[in-house]
Amino acid sequence: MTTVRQVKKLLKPLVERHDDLALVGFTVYLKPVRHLLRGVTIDRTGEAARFRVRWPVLNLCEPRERLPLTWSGFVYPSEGLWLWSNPSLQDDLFQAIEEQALPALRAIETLDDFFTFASDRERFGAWPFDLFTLLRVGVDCARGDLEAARTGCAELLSGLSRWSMPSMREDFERVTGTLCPLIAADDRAGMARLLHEWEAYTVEKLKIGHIYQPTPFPLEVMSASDGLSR
Amino acid sequence: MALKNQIDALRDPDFRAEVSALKNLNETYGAKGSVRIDVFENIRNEIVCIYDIKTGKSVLRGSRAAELAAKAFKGLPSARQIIVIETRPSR
Repeated sequence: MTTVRQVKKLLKPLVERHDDLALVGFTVYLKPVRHLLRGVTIDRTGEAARFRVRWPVLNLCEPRERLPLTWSGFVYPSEGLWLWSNPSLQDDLFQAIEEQALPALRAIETLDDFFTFASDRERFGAWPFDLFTLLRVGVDCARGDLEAARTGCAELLSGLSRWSMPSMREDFERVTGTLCPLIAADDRAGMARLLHEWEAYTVEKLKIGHIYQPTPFPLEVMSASDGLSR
Repeated sequence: MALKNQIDALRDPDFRAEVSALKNLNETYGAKGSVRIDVFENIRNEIVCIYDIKTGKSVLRGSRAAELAAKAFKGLPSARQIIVIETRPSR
């Protein structure tokens, strides 16, 4: 399979010609990282001879140990597949990334942008983000849309959703046991503290502390009467 | 060309090879603890098909089918039916 060493050698020149990129493992991240992870990932395949290229976007409103490719686009070569044996691989890949991924990633700047992107039915028909109640409560909360967050918590706490099934128990209990009570109590300081803890956890696990820039969530910069900021 | 290469060459986001599932569908390939779906097809009418490729005497067992369906169910909130199919390439 494709190795980190191969990826580093392949992508280092790309990072050097864009001052808003940083390479960590298999992923080139856009920096600085605030509440979103945006990157281009070399995704390995079962064959050593080739790889896939994705450009994932992820919010940092829940603790994570890896970067999923759930809400991502593909970077395609002009023809065929991404093969290590291609003599012009580096040029072809950089051109494709610069045309297909970076403009789209740079346009996604806020949690609202992420929500719109990841909830696009055309792009993510079977897994639009807004249907992941367990995941969106944190994002709704961070965006300051506490009404939506309360609705999400009520759905979760009803016990009637798919999110309470045993295999999701850990995530379910984390959200319903820690964040939802703070939302119910309208404890904005508590919500912000918890979201920052989760954000810091993911930053540490993904080893991106050097490109992370802690900033307040929209929840913290709007007054209680503002509602959802746009 | 291997079947997975042929599928990748189609460039269809709804018909894909080697999809890994853990907490979500589409984890990075080979993520620790993830389950690998050989071929995934989103039919787009709330139906998703998972094709488990088998060769020789191996068969798709019920426990494996249930595991694949459960992982997919977690990652596909708009899917109402998940169909797991044993598939045997003919050549």
